[in-house]
Amino acid sequence: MSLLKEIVRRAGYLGRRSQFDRELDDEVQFHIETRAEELQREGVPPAEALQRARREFGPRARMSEDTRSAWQFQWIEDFWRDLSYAERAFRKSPGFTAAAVLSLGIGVGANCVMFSIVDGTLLRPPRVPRPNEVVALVSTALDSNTTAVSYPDYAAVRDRSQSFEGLTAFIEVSTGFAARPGAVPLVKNGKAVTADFFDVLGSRPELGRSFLPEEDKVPGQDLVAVLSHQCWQEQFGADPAALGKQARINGIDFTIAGVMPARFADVDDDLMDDNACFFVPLQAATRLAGSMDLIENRGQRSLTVFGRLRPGVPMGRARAEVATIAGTLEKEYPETNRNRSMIVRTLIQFRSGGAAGITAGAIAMTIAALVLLIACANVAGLLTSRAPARAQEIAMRLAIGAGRPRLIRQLLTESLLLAAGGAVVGVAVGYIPIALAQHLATTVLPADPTPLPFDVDLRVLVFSVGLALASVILFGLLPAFRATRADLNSVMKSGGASAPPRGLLARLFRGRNVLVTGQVAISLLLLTTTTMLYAGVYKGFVTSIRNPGFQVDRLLAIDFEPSNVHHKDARAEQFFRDLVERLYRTKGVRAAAVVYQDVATIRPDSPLAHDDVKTAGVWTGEGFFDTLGIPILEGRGFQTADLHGPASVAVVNDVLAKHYWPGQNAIGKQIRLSTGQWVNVIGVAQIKAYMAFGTPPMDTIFLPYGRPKQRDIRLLVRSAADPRALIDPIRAVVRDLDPDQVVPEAMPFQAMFDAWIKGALLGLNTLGAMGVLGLVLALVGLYGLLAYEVSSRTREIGIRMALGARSGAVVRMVLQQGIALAVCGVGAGVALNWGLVKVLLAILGSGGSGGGGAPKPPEPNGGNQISFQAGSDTFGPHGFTILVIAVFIVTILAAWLPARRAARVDPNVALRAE
Amino acid sequence: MGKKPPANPELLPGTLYLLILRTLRSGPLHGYAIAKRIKDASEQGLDIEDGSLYPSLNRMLVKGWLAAEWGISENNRKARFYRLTPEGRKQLAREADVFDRLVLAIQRVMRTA
Repeated sequence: MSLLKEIVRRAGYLGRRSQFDRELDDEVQFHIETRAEELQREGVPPAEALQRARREFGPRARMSEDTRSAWQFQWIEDFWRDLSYAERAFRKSPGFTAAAVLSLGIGVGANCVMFSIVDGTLLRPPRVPRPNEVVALVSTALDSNTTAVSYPDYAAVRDRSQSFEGLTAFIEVSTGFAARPGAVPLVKNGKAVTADFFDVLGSRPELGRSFLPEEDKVPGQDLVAVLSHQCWQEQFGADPAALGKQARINGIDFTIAGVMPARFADVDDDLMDDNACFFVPLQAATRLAGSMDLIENRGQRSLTVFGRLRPGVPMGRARAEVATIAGTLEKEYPETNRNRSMIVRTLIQFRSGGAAGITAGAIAMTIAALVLLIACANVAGLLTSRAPARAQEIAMRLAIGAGRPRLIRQLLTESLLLAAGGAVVGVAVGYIPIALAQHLATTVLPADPTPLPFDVDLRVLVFSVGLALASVILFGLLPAFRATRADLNSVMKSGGASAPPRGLLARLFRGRNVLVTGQVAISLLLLTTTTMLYAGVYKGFVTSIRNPGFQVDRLLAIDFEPSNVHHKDARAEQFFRDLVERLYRTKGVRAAAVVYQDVATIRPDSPLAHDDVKTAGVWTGEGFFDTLGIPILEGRGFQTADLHGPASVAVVNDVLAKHYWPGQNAIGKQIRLSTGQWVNVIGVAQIKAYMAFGTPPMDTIFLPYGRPKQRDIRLLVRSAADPRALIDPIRAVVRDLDPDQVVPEAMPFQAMFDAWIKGALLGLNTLGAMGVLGLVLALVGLYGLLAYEVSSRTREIGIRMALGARSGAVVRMVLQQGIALAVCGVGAGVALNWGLVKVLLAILGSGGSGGGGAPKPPEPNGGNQISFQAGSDTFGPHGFTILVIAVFIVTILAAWLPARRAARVDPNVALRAE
Repeated sequence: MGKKPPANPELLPGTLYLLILRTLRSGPLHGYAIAKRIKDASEQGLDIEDGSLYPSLNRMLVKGWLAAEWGISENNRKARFYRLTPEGRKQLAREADVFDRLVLAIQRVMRTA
């Protein structure tokens, strides 16, 4: 307690330094003058009295300092002094400071970007209490990519398992939402959730209540809704009286029971997830969808399931239990659950989509770490080169009595200042790509502004600053320790320079040389990796977006989700037929078609097909190939007659035709569908893959439009002029056909693709920048080392030249070292690459399932498919050789510049200056 | 820094605090008066260097044993007056006690053979 009071008293001094000094002066003045008066009274003459009084008082400077130090926090004073000393020293050598801060900044910046992406999409825990207890339940199958769970399976796990404190299932719905019955409905996203959703996530509504357990028992009975805070603000003006009122969702009236707080964020921060505007009970969603399939159909898997582990239950036990239950279900319901199991995943695993996402994150962070490593080597090298000059100063301070800890503290303070500069530059550098990405995401597609989940937030800032600090301490303190251990005598005598070792080999293995060699090697590895990724993504994804196989201009797409299609089944089918027909009669419409995609399991009648295969399936109407401008190579597209009655015809793409009937005419061949029906091939379309980007050509079958099972339906419209001009006419047609049908946002294809390309290029360029920056940093390191060598050997060079050496010999001498470094560096880099690149190819080329060589084509996923591949065909040994040669040349160039400087040394100047 | 050869015995370290506390027991004084009174009271036996007075006074201020405020001296000048705080009085009692026992112990040792 007394210590605290003392600290408080001392703190009072901090702001009043100058006042304190003045008062002390006054006090001492008073003391001396009073003594002088006393002496005068004893008869001493005034001038002498004053002199004697002053002498008696003693040395004032020392006294003032002692008095002041009674009040100061010693360590603050020391720190402040060290800081201003360091700042002055850095200001005196601006080149050094700039090089160090920029190098560090680039390294930290790279990590800032990567971490912010990885953290935002994978690592950041959701804003729920005890997030590490929350797990996801997904279903797995040997023959399908679907991970969603069906309701009966979910209920089985919920009822039979002991490991969970709570298990909740939900599905996203996109609906027409009207804040008041009778208002024009807008398209809003919501979530249909089981009653315990909010309990499992640990969040309570800020207004009203959440769902009661009884409200989620009977399908379609309890029509209550809970609003999100944002929706409540936007649609209801944050009016507390909104509770109890009715909102009309998909034409059905729901009573508003509660409002969630603003900070309640959903747990599955999916990149594609739009924030839900409202929550309704899962059983009520059957009314929205107009079918009981959601609840009753065990084979329909569309629910996401989250649970909270019971305290004390390890993941392993939960997994085992769930696997057992799934095994039982497989036996009980073989038609729907054959080859299906369920598994419990952590949130990170869930968000990353399994191994692929985590691998991608790891690769990203490794790339950034490599850049930082190179940058730190630069900083270490720079600090080491300063060491001899500082050694004198340090030796002197040690000699006059400064303790080693004190000196180390000062060097540490310098490192801190450097780290602070590096952190600021790093965050600034890292912010640029993130800001650009956010801007892109929210402005390019104004109809669908989805802010990206990553940003430079507090976690990223703390990470960046911590990284800068750690780097400087690790790489800056080591030279500092060495400096304080200096042998004082020899340092003072030799003026700071240490004797250069003899022989090329000994010189080669000196610390800084190893550093630069490492830098070159790592930068080669970095360049290889980034180039490989760049080439892979560019050749695959970007190129295929630029050539999607159909005409993109003047094309409009409107996506109807099952939950916002008003009529169901037969009426829906009729609605879309009527819609297309009416659109053809609308002014400005060239062509229109309705299409949905799924995975089609077929068996072509061909000796090459031994079993059922999965292909990409596209169900569509007669206007499809015209609307998209897909050329028909042989036969014809669909006609109206084909669309009535059960499907009996199909169109295949040229890939499939060549695959199963090579060298033959595919027209007239037969294919068996999963329904058991056989269809005739009536046409071959020229398209490598429909809406699948970054993948190799895929077998695709086109079938006549039938009754879609809970899949997104896309309306495609080709306009004569600007597609945006058609949006209102299309809405008018829809409203005319069905006033209760809400029309989702329309997207011009061109704009969408442009956005995707811009986004991909932004990512690629950031990646490429890292590779290039790594090389630049390494070159700066090499140049710095050689320039330093030249300047420290100026005397020696001067002597050589005075003794008759020609400038060419001098250049050769310096270049020798540079070439040696380049060779060693590139050699080490090639060796590094040899092993690692093989590993990298294996990981990237086949999506994590192992195997080298050419990548396997990915499974069709029945929709827009985006894959990233980087197989050996995108960047093989040729590319690698070119890269090696390029790096070698550039390294030699960086070595040549200081060599030239060496040649220009004037022996007179060199020998005179000391 | 050299010290002038002590004409008078040097103070045992820490006893300056004791002397200052005792001197201020009867009332507040300014710095010069404290020094003068110690010299006079010890009948010139103790000659403290004025330069060590003010650091000690300030240290005692930091520790909370003294409090200071500006006032007018007897010769009509502005001077800073120091006085004992209740905590200072307690400290005086503590230190006086310790000092007495120390002196007693030393005396006992000196009296033995």
